[in-house]
Amino acid sequence: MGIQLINIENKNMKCRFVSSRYPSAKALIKATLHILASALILKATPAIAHGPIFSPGPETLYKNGIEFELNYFQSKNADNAENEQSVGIGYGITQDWKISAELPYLKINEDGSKNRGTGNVHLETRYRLWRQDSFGKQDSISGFITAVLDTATPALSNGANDLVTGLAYGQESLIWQRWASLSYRYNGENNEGFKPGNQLNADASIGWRAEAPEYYKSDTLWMIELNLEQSQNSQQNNMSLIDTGGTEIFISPGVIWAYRNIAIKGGVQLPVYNNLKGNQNNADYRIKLALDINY
Amino acid sequence: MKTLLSIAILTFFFSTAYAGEKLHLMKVHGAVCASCAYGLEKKLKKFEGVTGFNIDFKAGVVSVCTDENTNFEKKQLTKIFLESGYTFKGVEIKTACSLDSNTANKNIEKSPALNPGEDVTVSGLFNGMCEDGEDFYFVYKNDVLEVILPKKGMPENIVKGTTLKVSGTVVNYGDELKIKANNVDTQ
Repeated sequence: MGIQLINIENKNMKCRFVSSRYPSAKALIKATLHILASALILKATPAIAHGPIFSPGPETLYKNGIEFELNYFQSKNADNAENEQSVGIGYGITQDWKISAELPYLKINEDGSKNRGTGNVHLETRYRLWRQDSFGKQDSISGFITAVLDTATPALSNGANDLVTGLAYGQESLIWQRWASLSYRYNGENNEGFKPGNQLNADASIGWRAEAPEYYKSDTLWMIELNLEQSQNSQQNNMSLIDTGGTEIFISPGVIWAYRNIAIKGGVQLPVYNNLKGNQNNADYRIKLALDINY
Repeated sequence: MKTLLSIAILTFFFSTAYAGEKLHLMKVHGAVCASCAYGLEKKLKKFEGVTGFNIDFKAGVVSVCTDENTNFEKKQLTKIFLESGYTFKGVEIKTACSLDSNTANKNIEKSPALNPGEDVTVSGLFNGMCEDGEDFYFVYKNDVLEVILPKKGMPENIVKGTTLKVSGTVVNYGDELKIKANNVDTQ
């Protein structure tokens, strides 16, 4: 069979790829949804306690501690809106080792068509590799691995398992907080030969509160993050899709309100730099809200 | 009679000092946020006899009220703090228990920012040392007060192991708190 050039266009993105096979239009639309769904899941990293909102922090949970999370995430991209609600649970095996699971429910409106259903289950293990306590200050570094299991509703399914791994550093003091993280997502290839592009994320964040916290008073922490996302081209049968991949940088103001074991977090991601390959719509904004409760 | 009864009930419920109780002032490093300290409260409150918990993040002091029979071993506290994600640095026991918001500040009082030049009052176990100089200085670190004073003389009632209350001016405040003292009391 000869090499064919195939063009598929929609308002969200254009896929032009060179293939030795003729994928069906249905398969290509599905591939588009895969990219959207996997991108959405990647951006909605679990909200955990007092760390940054859009990027991983180093915090773990006290030994035998249990954490419940409710998250809402919305992304707007031209005429396309993507929503995710998720519920998560975490457990502190030791003070340095935490495991967690998250189940998202996705709703994607794209080109007037709607797809909704459960997303991929996330299983994460996080280990604090280093911690240094001093008077009114804590520095720590954690490593984490997240398995994104292919459990989503068929219309939203990536068709493959993915893996995210990374390191997160944090320095927290009574007034100022600083975080930085580096992570890499390896996306699996599904049975139809489609593979979303792997992604490198780098994040830096600063948090500030007006005065030192008091235990029986609510605590408000303001933060601002800088999030870099660099994606490789997605592939179909090992051929690169040219209108995929690229670099985006976001600035993300946010706030955490906490009272003892309850924390409410909210933030918005605003694009400040886009260099997406080919013909792709830039992100307009992303919003995240989260409720965390520890026991 | 009703009024007297009401006062008695209110006094009972709102009094923050209880006779026969002990206050354990535990020095902690690494505690910087309320939502993270919940695990520590949970673990300490599991002990029979614990009646109250507070943490003063500025002073780095956890205050735990217990009945008079409850004692913690340092080994136990080290483990509890470790499993909560913090470092235990020492404990001091006082006879009256109060969990007012400033209770923990009985170790480091006043001066919210502890900036150089501000007044501060500190209490802790005294571990003395001498140096040449004109002024008394106290260094507060790891729940221990070190005094740096002129060799010419040290007040007789201040001996190693004494709990001191020192008022003075903050000289610097980093990993340790250095105070130029203008008043020293034994407790």
